[in-house]
Amino acid sequence: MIREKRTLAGILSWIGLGILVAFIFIGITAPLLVPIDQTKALAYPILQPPSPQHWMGTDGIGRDVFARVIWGARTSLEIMAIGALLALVVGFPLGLLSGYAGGRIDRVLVLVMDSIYAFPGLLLAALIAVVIGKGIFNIGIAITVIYIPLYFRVTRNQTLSTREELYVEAARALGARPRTIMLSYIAFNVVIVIPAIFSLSAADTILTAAGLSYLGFGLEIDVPGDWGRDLSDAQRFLGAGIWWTSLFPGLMIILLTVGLSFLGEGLNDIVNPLLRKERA
Amino acid sequence: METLLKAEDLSVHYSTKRGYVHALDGINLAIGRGETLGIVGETGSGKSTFAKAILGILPPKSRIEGRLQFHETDLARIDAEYFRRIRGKDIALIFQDPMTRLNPLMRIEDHFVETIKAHESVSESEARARAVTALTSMRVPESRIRNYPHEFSGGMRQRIMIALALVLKPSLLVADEPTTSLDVIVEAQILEILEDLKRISSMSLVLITHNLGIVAEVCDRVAVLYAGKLAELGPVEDIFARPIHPYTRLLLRSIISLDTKELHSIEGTPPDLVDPPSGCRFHPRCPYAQPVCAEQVPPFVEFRSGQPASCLFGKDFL
Amino acid sequence: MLLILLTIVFAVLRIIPGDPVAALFAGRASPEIVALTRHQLGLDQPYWQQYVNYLAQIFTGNLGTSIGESYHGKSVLTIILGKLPGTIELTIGAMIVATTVGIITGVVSGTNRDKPSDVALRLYGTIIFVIPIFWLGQILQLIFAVELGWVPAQLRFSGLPLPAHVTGLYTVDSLLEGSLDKFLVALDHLVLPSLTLGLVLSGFFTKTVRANLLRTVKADYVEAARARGIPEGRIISRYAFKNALIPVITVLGLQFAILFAGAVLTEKTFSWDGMGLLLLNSIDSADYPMVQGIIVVYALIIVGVSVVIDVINGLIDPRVRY
Repeated sequence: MIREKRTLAGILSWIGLGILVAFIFIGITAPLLVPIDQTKALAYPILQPPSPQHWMGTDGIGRDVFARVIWGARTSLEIMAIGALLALVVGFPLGLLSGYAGGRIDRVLVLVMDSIYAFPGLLLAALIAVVIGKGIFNIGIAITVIYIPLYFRVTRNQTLSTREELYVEAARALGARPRTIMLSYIAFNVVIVIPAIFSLSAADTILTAAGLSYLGFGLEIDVPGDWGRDLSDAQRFLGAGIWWTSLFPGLMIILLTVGLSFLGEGLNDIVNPLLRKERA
Repeated sequence: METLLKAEDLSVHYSTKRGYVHALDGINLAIGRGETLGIVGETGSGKSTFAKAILGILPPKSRIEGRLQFHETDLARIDAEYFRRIRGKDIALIFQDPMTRLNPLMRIEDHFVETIKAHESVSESEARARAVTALTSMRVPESRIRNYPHEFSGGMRQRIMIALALVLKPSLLVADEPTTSLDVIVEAQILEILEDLKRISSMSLVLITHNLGIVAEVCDRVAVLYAGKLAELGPVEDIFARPIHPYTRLLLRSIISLDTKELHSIEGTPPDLVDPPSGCRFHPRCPYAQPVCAEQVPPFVEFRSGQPASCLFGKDFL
Repeated sequence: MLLILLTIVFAVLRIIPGDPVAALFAGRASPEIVALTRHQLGLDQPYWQQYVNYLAQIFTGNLGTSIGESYHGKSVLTIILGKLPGTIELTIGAMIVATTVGIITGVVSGTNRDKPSDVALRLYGTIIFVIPIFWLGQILQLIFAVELGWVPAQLRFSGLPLPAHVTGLYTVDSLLEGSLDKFLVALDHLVLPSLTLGLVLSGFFTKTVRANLLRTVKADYVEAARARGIPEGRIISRYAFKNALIPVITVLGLQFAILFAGAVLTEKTFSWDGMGLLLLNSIDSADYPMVQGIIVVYALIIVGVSVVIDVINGLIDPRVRY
């Protein structure tokens, strides 16, 4: 029974990985796949349903939906990369510090991080985005702030539990150099967990970014691909039964996030037993 | 003495990833009405499996072979619903760890009422009255009957468990290491309760433990289990004073008392039950082992009246 | 905790580099007007002074007056309280959907462990949680409102005069008023938004309920109950089920933050007149006090909810009480 379950999650994570790789590929090669300027209005007749010329139809400003969707992948991946990486860069050392040092620093940091975590992510990001303005990098920063607590917390937990073990071990093994060993051991334990956390939160990042764009706080208008904004634009045409401007960008979002989720859960399944074995 | 429970060639296998675990293999013993039988053995000897087999709560992937006769019923052959009606009413079980055995969201009173009503159709108030009687007989104050489990200490929880087991006056009580997780003083109290029960009722008790001291105090007969098979069986005095099977002898020798000058342990570790040793399962650790012990499975025969053992050389140990 | 939250809000709105007032105006006002507004709002005072004023205002319930177009001059607090019921109604509707779907799927999934239904439901849980709320809303609108015409696509109410105001929740108010037709209208409008938000949230519940159920079923006290001959049906309902649901309450509380974010998106998708929509409009009309006020109210509600959850937890789980 146990074996079966692992295989299912295993299959899913391979699918997830495949999806992610596909998206990265699309993102990188977008300019080659779709050499059109995706920001030009009225390049095509507006609101055309899907056809052989326009696989996913055209939107309300006369842009090819398929092309925008492809470019959207690139944009999303950029934001995701910035957001997750920055969050890691900030959250990881803070978590290490907090877990290792303990005491007042720890308590303060934990309180701050928990509060950020408790706040509705989208709203906080929206506020930050409003204040610091639009643009890919700024959105990345806004998203970063919401995810710092996650990396912080994970790193801190790992640091704490590893520290416990090592004190016990160090007591037994006389003459060991606790500090260096501890840091490298902690770092190792944490690094193992990072990919799993990353993929799980990456899915969320995509959704938040799309949400931000949808609400109007995202990127500038002339970015070649922006799933969230496309969905926002699509809204006023729903009443007329225009479905392709809404369906396709959304499906792309779902595909990417589902892939990331599968990958994340699969990685998590692998990492957890590993951690337990390390301890044994 | 009237026989209450009789195991005839009883075997239990679990199916696991690595293969079949032969937890119990060819057990033959009988328990009389009003008798207290101790079952001793190391971890993995099959003691808990035996308890669960009697209660019918073996894990899903297990198979039973042989006969387990309780009154006119073969417990190895009945269906789930039949067994459910027997459980708690005619046969009851006390578990080892009382701390986790009560539903944290249910009051103690509700545990009793629920148990009673699962077997008899009585009114709420009568069930509650019987709950009070059962509890107070275990020296748990009546005022606490509406408390929740987490409000009681380990010793009291075990007493509550015993009261729960006895509330429907079963004819057979199985106690699986009832005092192992309790401290010595509480253990003494629980044992006292069990001894009182012995005197007052005609209930049979199967006491499973690895503690020979308890066996000496409370039991009439004792069965020694090793690697899923019966090593020896007999009255407590005979087993303790004149053990036959080498395993029993080594076990007795390893008991520590105030006079102990040297520590004796049994070399080696209990065998793997997926692939047990050939012939006599104890032969790898037996200081008296002969080549034939690895080839022949020793029969379980009486070398002395009322004291069967499974050793090819039992005669020599009399 | 509350203090920290409020401080964070303060920090974001005032200390972070970048001028929120200017950002809100987004280039539609001349620098002089921006400066004047800042002065009027007291944003050019030293930070510590602002902070003190800010906290003082909050604790006396004065959230300022609106400077936006729609509500100019009116009390921020009053406007917010007027729009709050809308969001509450949506939230409750979504929670009902989320918990019902989540619990049912979680139980079915848990009791049929590793069978096809379990696998399918677990996949459902994972996938639906990452569906963008606004997209799901749009698709549901397309199918059920536009194509099938079963329910309206937008707004909270239409066609009839509004029910007399008691709670602000149109469904409740129309029932209190005794007008069944108004109730149906309100309910009709509530269906799609609740489904949208609720379904997405239910994914999380599915997994949580399932995990808890599986854990409880293996519990020691369950085995002990079986050993007493308690029937299996009762074991599931009284032992497994109830114990498994306890963490769900806590989860509900934790999900509240996500619920709010989701509500904002849902409100925009359905033009649902609640706090979320108010927030968006205020940002559009550069109504700084309103924006700040709404965020502060959000923070207060979040803290309030977590307190309530703790209390409820204490009521249900006797172990938590002292």
